Amino acid sequence: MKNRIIISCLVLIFSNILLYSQTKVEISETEKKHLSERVLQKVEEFTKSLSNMVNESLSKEVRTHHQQNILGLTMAKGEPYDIIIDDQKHHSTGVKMVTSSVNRSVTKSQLLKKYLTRLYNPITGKPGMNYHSITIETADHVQVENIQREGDHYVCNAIFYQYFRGKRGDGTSYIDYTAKRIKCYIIPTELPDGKGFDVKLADISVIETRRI
Amino acid sequence: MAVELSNVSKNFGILENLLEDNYYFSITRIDGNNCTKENIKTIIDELDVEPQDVVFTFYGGHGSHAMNNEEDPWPQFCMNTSDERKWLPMALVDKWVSAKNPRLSIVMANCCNKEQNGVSVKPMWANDDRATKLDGLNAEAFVKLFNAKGRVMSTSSKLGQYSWCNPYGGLFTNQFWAAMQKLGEGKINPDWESLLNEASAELTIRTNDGTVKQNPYYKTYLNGKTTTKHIDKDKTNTLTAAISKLVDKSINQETRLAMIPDILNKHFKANSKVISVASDMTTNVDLEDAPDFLRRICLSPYIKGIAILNDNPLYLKVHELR
Repeated sequence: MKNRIIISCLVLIFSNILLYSQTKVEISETEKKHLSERVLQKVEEFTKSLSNMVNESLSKEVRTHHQQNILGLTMAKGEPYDIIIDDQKHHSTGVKMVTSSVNRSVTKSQLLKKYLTRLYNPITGKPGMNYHSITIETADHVQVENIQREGDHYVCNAIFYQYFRGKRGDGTSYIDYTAKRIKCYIIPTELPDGKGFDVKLADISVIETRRI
Repeated sequence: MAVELSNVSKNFGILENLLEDNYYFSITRIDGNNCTKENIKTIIDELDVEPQDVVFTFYGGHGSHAMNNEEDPWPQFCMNTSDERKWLPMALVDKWVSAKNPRLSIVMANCCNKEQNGVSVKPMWANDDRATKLDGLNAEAFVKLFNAKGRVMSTSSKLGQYSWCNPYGGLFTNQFWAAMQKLGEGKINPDWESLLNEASAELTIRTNDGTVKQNPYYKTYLNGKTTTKHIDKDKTNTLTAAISKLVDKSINQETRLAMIPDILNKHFKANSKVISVASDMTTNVDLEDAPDFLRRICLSPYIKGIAILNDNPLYLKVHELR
């Protein structure tokens, strides 16, 4: 069977190469708008992959890919990293996830990598928590706060909301509704044809948890 | 003018996603010092064109026109050289492409049809900050448009005029794609006359030396016969085709995930990166390792297509269609 082919021969001249200093890169209001949109897109993909990672109707393979996808969206893919703030190097042991419960007054901080494995262990195919099964659903729209400079890079926070349902072996369930804040790094990067930005998600904290 | 290449690439990417059930797209981009008359001739000579194929050729850059040659309304492409012996007449491009006997040939240019002095222009177009959406565009309208038979030639300014651009690209180029958008929304009849009539509306430009006019010029040689055939996607082996399958939600997700190693092996290097560009085609908003990019777009329910904007295997530039 013959194929139709549409062929475009794009002939362009004069690609301008912009040079800029990697430190103290200023971003315009237009760039801020586009970067805010990008942060929104990445947080939405983060929350969607979180939901899918615990979705038992999906295959083990797909769920494992979602887990890797979540880490791929974050700083150093969940591994340790350094970041410069006010000319000082700050070391992080990895992106952190703070979790909460309506049954306790204190929150708990752990490495995101570890938390994800507790939600879904790719080897066993089951949660590592004390639940028979877990569902996580995104609630409400993601909100992105203003982008601000932090030394040689930029940061912003995004707020997302989720329902967490954990079903125990005895048939009882734990359900809560949580508002979480996720920090996002926007790091200026030098590319072959000019400046660019690397948008990566980082530490997640709890704003509020309510029993449902 | 790199933004022009990105802009046009993005719009062809949109068309490709809309028409994926009807057409297989093969896109060749050439810019900078590779833009020579000889290279363009070689590319066109080497095209494997079949009788039902459509060939769309676009040029963006400097253009001019020979003196005392009013009988030829079309510009000459300056091909990044001041040596006019190396300039490429648009009419010659039309002749080369026509010699390949495609069903439909479209030759389009955004360039001056007169000597150009490089006067700065105030932006006329509002920049859309939102993600590029495919919703609301009717693929059937574009199918009808590309079902025409014959030749179309369109250039950004008539004989004796400059063509103008702003930070968002050529003014005619933007006007053409805005007309294509209207066609997709059902606001213009899906035929070349209607489209080019809209796209070729007179432009008024405020320059440092006062207000000037720009009148795009076109001619169509069509007889309106229509045919439609189904395209076998498995016959494709380009990166564009591979990524198109990767985000095709009609294909099982596990099957698509399994394609990733092969795509990486065929089209990327070990240290390849992917740059995502915002809808303004200028702001580079993300940088990812190629494997992370491919997995993310495969898993994302929000991404409907990917427009590939360059051919650099180490730093691939893309725009996401959502």
